[in-house]
Amino acid sequence: MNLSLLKTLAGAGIVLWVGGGLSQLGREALGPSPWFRAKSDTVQAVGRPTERLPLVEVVLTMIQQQGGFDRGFLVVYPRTDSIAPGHVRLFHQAMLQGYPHHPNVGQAPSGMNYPSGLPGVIVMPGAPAPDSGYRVADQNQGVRLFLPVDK
Amino acid sequence: MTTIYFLVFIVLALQTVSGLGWIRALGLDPDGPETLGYAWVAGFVATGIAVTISVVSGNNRLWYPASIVLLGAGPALAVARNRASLQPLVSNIRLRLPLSSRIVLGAAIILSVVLLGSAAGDRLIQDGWSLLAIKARALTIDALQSFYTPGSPYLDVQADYPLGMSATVAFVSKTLAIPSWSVASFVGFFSFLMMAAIGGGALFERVKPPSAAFATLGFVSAWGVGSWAMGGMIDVLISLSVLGMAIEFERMVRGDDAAFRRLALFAVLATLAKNEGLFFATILGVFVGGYLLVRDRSRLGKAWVLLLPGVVALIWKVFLMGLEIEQGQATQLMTSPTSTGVGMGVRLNLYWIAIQGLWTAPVWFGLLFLVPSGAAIAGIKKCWSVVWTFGLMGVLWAAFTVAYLRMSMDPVFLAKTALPRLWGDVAPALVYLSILGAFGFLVPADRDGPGGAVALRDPRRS
Repeated sequence: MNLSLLKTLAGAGIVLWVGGGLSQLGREALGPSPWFRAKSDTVQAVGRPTERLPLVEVVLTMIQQQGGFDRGFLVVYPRTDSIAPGHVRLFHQAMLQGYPHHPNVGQAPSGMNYPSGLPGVIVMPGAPAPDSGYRVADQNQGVRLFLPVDK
Repeated sequence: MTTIYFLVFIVLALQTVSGLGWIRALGLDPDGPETLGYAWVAGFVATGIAVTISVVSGNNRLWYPASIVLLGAGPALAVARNRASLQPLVSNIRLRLPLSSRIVLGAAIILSVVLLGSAAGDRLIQDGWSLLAIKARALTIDALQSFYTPGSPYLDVQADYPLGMSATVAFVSKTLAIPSWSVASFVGFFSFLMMAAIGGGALFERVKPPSAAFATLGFVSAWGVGSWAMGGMIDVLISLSVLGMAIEFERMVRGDDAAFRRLALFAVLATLAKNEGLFFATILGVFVGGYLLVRDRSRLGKAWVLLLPGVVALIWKVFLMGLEIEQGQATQLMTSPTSTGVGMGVRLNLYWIAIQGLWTAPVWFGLLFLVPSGAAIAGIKKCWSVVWTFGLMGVLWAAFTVAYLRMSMDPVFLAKTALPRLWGDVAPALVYLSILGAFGFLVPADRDGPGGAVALRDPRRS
């Protein structure tokens, strides 16, 4: 194998690697946020943080308006793809604000395999089953907040 | 706001100074510009060990004073052992660079400052960072006592993850009395920059300055890892650990006995960061043992330090078993993938499609040229230390591929979220090795095989 050819390929590889990184940075710098913001392909699935944060605040506000974290809430997202990792991020953010005041973790009803890890709150995509025992307590921007019918 | 983040930077700098004391006291100094990065790693490890021991021993409330004691012990030990002189550090960092290299390095530094500025005040983006930050928050509120008590409602919040990053975030948070989630992104990106400092710094010893400077700029702009660092994945610490393992394994093969201790430092870092880190540290230990058995048995006794990560992990795992916390990923590995209804053939196909997508993404495309060329040149030039280290990387990747394919999680979800991170774990090390293989100065030990005399030609002093 020609050594100089290999070195040329390696050099081209370095240039492409550095250029690829810089161009990705550049594209993201030109996005909606005035600062560079993290937005990998995976993060992209749940939108830019600056776009999602208002939703986070909306949900947290709804929970607070309904009396706080410990009432056994079910939060329903409009789309499956906003569940992971969006729901985890959302509820751990909420958990950070609430910790350690509500140490009772909500349990998912049958068929809803999305315990949030957040005290008193579970989360799922789509809609709860009709007989799940939940009623709509509030909704905003496509996210619905459910409470057990007996509360 | 700016003042706060300047203070965050100062706390991290103090952690680095402490780590510098540790690496000088324990003879872990790599004697190159990468020393500062190694120092931060040592400070991070000291903090993580202090917090872990406090929690495991039931002395949760002592985590902060224990951290201060352990961080202070490094410089004190260096003074006691008469190794506190900063002169070697200054001479290591001082580089005689041509103007072109200075300009490129300056660009890398400016970009680093801009990105750190972006990380300052950034909100949490990904679940990974949130999990770390909540543990950091819990540390500052009740020293994790609500977390790690039998029957705690928080045991399912990835409580089995080690405490390394949460320890540093909590230390910064408590020292400055600011919320953990407001510093997590900053600390994450700082650790990413340490990766650039280590990778770029180590290259200055082995390649011409322009190449090393350009590679440093590449590490800083490696957005495939950087976005995770800022956006919320602790995998950046695994990338940093694997890079350190690659650097030190290559040095060990060249005959540097001190590299065993530095390998242990990065293996402990990986173990304190994440379960995957323990996996990598275990593979490293087995590979080093196998290499020494086959090629250099006389040095086998010097590898005992690589048992240290196992001790750290064992203490943590025994503690978790006492709390009956489910070892999530271990369970995953023990579960047959066919139990999910998705056969191995489908998984392999999805894996291959995802790999192709990754390798052709703009941030990684260059590696399709760089890595094969670098490995081939290293082989042609009989640079065996680099070839062996490529072998280590191959084994790490292969082992993780097997583990990855066996996980019972949804393979599409894994392909979207886990695989890019796994690739990011090894990619910086592959870049380092490829540049070393393609453009590194040959040294006699490389050609003579392992155990030969090391006569490293230092471009800074030639």
